[in-house]
Amino acid sequence: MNTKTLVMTISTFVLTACATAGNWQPTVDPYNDPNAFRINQDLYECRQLASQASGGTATQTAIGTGVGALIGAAAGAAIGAAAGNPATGAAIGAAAGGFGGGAKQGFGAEMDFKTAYSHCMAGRGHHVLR
Amino acid sequence: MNGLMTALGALLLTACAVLDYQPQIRPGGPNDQRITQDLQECKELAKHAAVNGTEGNSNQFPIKDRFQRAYDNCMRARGHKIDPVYPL
Repeated sequence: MNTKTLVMTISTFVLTACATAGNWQPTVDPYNDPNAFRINQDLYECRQLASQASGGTATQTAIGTGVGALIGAAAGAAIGAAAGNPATGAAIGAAAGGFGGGAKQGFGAEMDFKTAYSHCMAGRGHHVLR
Repeated sequence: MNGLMTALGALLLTACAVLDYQPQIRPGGPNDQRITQDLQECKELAKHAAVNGTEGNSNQFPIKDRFQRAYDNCMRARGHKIDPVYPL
């Protein structure tokens, strides 16, 4: 397996794992909410806004994977060269770097998404359970 | 992965004694007649919040703590005075 294939496989795995973040929504208590009739519409609109604000989990994960893979490949190649096999070192470095970078960027974006989504709903007068 | 974690969380909530928790309500509030109903409704909402997770970094806390905190906050928001396990 060459470096490019390995990086693409890892990117796909990380993107798939993070894709479910899009299904998340805050828990809203409709009790005594004067705008309860708007909850579904606000959930929809706030989801769109939060997605834009966080840059999109999948997008951020892809960016993190790419950057991580490049850094990992460079570091791996250097270590591999010292050990006598720069190609294998680069592949292992790209894999590790891509996974770590994608996960870090993806989780960060997911947290931003949840925070923005919850604040948007609260800002529209709904009681978000925390 | 998130789906698996949610399923495991739901299983944990159902299987263990986490759900035995109930906030301690101080009598004398204006909504005393609603205590039983609110306890039931807030329990369901708190289960959802604990399994589903909330924003920020609160998910680093155990599911038991998230459930109890959400349960307390829900009851408090409905006008009941409670002895908090987790202060505001």
